[in-house]
Order: sequence, then structure tokens, then C-alpha cells
Amino acid sequence: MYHYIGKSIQRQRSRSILVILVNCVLAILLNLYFGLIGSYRTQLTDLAENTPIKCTITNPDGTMEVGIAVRSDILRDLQAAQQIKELDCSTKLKAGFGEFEIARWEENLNLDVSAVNKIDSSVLPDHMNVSYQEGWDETLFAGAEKVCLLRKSDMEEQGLSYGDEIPFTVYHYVMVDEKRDMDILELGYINLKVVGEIDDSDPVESREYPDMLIPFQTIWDEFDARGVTFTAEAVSFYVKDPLALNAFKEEMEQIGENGLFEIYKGEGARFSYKGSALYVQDGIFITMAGRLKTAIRILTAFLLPMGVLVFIVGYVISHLLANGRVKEFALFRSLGVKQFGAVGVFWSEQLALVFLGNVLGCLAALLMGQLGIQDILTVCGAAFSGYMLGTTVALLLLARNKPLELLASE
Amino acid sequence: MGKIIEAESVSYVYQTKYQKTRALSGVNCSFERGKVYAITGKSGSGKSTLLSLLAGLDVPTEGTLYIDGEDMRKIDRDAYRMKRASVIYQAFHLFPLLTVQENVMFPMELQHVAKKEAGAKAKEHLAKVGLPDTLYKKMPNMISGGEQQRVAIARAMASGGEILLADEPTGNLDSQNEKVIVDLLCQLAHEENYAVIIVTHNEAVAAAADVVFGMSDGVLSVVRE
Repeated sequence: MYHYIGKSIQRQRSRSILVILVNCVLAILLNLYFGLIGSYRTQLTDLAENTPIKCTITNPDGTMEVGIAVRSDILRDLQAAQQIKELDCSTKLKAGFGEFEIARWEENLNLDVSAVNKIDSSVLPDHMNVSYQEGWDETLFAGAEKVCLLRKSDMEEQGLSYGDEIPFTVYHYVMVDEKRDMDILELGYINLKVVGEIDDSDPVESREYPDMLIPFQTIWDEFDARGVTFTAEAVSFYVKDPLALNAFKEEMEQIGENGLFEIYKGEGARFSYKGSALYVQDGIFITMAGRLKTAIRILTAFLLPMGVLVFIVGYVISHLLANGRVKEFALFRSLGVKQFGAVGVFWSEQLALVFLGNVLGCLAALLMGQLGIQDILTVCGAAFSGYMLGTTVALLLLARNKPLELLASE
Repeated sequence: MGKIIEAESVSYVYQTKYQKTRALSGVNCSFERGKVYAITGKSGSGKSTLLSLLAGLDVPTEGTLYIDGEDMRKIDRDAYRMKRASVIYQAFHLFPLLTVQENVMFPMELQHVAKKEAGAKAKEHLAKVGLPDTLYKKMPNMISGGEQQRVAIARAMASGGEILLADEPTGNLDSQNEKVIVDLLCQLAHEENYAVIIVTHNEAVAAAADVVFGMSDGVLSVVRE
């Protein structure tokens, strides 16, 4: 029987080539189809990386200019949150060298201080280089060491050098009413070690930037130690996984239910009595991700019809080919080959041709490079199975024929 | 000489969704080795239906068909066709993809005869039916109708059976080839001890048979014994 299958494939070249070609094309088309879905999925994943969703805590009315005053309980919840990353906190203070009375603030309270948990272009522009004492670097801002960075000009004026530990008198801002009038109150004396300097060689350009940088946690600890309510002036972060935006929002809403803030999205925030508001800049991401998800959903919806199509192609082609071979089938039966044995000859023949077609389709798909080898094999396996299922049905229908009706003269 | 096939009140009804057609009605007959039988009758009289039952391609609706005393319903009819009974058709029905020799080898390959041995036996059978060896490698569509029918007889012989069923074996042949084929079938019966059963409406073929049955509207009767 194996000889017969081989000879049949070999001697009916055009029919064999047709089956191989059809299956090769089917495998390529299915690979293109799945490649397209894969490409959209990759774009969606890349979109999450390339279009990060920034979230900023704003005033309840959506503004961010002054008086944001993010309470420490919000900060703690955000530090513990699972769905956010790159939490960026800062607060502004005033300070002066040494210890002095409040009455003499005008000549002493001359340092603009920023307490930050990391240093980036929003804190200092790139041209204002920062240098550190040996053993220290920018990671110090993530810690709670009692250290600071000062402007180079101030260090020279005060005759300070790296490692000097000097006292500062620190004052903090307090919002006195809802019209956002600010007051300034004394926090107290803090000894800080100078471990770095800010290059302010262009005094005009650098005027609006801080004179002194302190780790955020350091100053927070000082507030707590003195029993003073601590607030941050700017808090922003990124959604950890933009594709899990719902999980993020659930977590934020959970924090919101604790009365900490409400989530606003879009162009502006609504007025709120609850406290601070969260401005989520997810508009662009949602629009782009929405388009990609729609495309993926539409393509995925065709998955079942594609499977049915492959089955139908397998059925129709095998049925047409089998129709031309009904007498051959009847002859097998007439010679004593069992029903399924006779069907098996044609089935095995198709199996070999379909397999070869899929191998060629796999090679072509590999050359196209849309999918990985494992995905290609899975897709070709699915094409192979669908087509062979159609072939099996067509050949089982062929087996219903009675041999003598096909071969007899009457 | 023992009866190899015996039909006892055999009836057959073709049943479709809409109608029933009685093709055979209470057929009683028997066949022996070494004889040529002819079943004659008009088209649609039930000759080929009886032949398909004798070939084990179907079973009677009523009655019993015995093969060497065994009920046809109880035997492996595929094995019966493979090893004991062969059918020759009017349209020859050779495998179009196989050469003349491969066609004759095919039944032996089904019986797992080694390829070399099958090839040698195929040549023997082809020689017996008088085909020159120049035709052995040719495809069936390259030889004449008479030659194709001789290949079909050689293939029937190759299965090693003892029953040869022929359905209008000369229907597509000229008178010269008709005589060759009829002589060949008679030779197989008389010299090789086959039971040859020929369905025909050709009087010349019937004349060569040892026993002639007539078939009319599914009823079989003995015309000449």
C-alpha cells in the first residue's frame, strides 16, 4: 500500500503539486494573519513602555501652581501602592546658615531649599552640574541621611568644603486659608553634612533654581521628630503597567475611599472638597491602546471563521479530488481492501502532501520573519489539523459509496 | 464436484429514502468449480446485483448465500474477495496509476507477497493470458481494450482465488477480442478449476458457458444445464 501511495503522489504530479501549493499558501496566510495579531500585540506592549502614563497630584481644582500640600498619609499610601512606579516627591523650604532669631530672618533666611527623593531635570537643569564628595552620588536622595548639596558660590562665600557638618535654621510653608495665602513657620535647627555642590557659574540663569538640596525622607523625618505636620509640594509618579490601568485605578480609588484624593482624568479636574486630586495623563495612551485593542479584537474575532475556512478548503479540495477517484476506491474495495483501509490510502496520501505543503509554508513564514519558530509551528500545526479534518470528513463520505454501484455495467 | 457457492431463497431490495426496489426475488442456484456459468438477462433485470452478492460486496436482504457451506453473512467478506473471489468488469477497471505488471502485482502485495516474488508471478499470469512482455511496463491507457481485459483477468488470477466473477467482460470489446477473452475464461474454468460466473447479455458468450441462467425481474431460472 505504501508503494501505491508513493506512486500515486509521483504519477499524479499536478494534483499533488496543487495540494502542496494550497497548503503552503494556507500556512503562509495563517502565519500572516497571526503575525498581524502578534504585531498589534507587540505594538500594544511597546506602547505601554513608550507612552508612560504620568500621574500628578494637583489641587482639588486641577491647578498645580501653589499650595498642593500633599499630606504624609497620602505619601505613605503611595509608597506602599503596587500599581505605581517612579514616585517623585518634593517639598520646598527656606533655610539659613547657622542659628538665628526669627526677628533677623531678612538677612539670614536666604536659602531656597528643595527636599527631593531623586534629582532630575525638573529639579535642576542639565547645565547646572552637580558634583559629589567621594563615596556619595545621586542615590543619596532616595535615602534619609542628614546630608545636603549647596551652591558652589555659597560654599565659597561660607568657606565650606565637602564633609563639613553645619547647622541650618529651617522654615516651612503653611497654607493659612482656602485662598491659598501662605505663612512661613520655623521648623528648627538641623545639622547637615555637605556632600556635594551645585555648579551655579551662571548666576542669572540659575536664579530660579534651589540653593540647597536635601533628601526628601530626611526632612520628612525631621518634621515627624518635631511633631510638625509634613506635606509635599509636588508628587508625581507613573502607572506601573499601563495595560493594567483598571487595576491601577482600583488601587487609587481604594486610596481615594480613604478620603485621600479623587482621581481625575482628561483635560482638567473637577472641584473637590475631599482634598488633593490625582491628574492621570492617560488620554493619549487610552486612545492609542484603544485603537490597537479594537484591531486585535476584530482580528481575533476572525479566528473561528479562519479555522472553519481552513476546514472547508480541506473538505472541498479533498472532496473534488476524491470524486475523481471513486472508482479507484471501489476497486480497492472490490479487491478486498477494507473500507477504512481504502480510505486510509487516500488519507495517507493527502497527509503526506498536506504535511509537505505546511513544511514549505513554515519555511516561507520563517523567511518573512513575522513570528518566532514556535509560533510558526503552532500556526502550521493548526492549519494542518484543520485541513486534515476537512479531508477526513470528505473521505469518510467517499467511503459511503457501494463499490459495485460504481464499477458495475448496469 | 462440490458446490462452492449456493444461493438459498436470496432476495435483495434496494432501499432509498423514497422508494424500495426489489432487485432479486427468491433466487436459488449453486455454482461448482471447473465450470463456466452465464447469467443472462436484460439491463436492470438484477444480474449485476446477484454478482455483487456473489462477490461479497453486499449481503442478501432475505435468504442465505453459502460459500463452501458457510453463511456469507458470517465470513470476513473482505478477506473472501481478497483471497477467493475476483471480479472482472466491463470497463476493465485497472488502476490507472500503475503499470500493467504493477496492476497484476497489486493483489499479491495486499496478501504481503514479497515484491520480487509478486513480480515474477505477475509475469507468469500475464504470459498465461497471452500478453507480450513489451506491454508489462506500459500504463493501462496505453494498451487496447482487449489487452486491458486480459490484464484484469491476470490480476484476478493473481489473487489466487477459485471464483472468477465477470460482469459483461466482453461488453467493450470487438468480436475478435471477445472470443479471446471467452476462451480464456473457459480455459481457466476447465484447466485451472475456477468457478467462472459471467453476467452477460451476449448470446455468443452465453453459448460458451457450461450452464446458463436467465434473469428476469429479479427471478433466476435455468436456461441450459
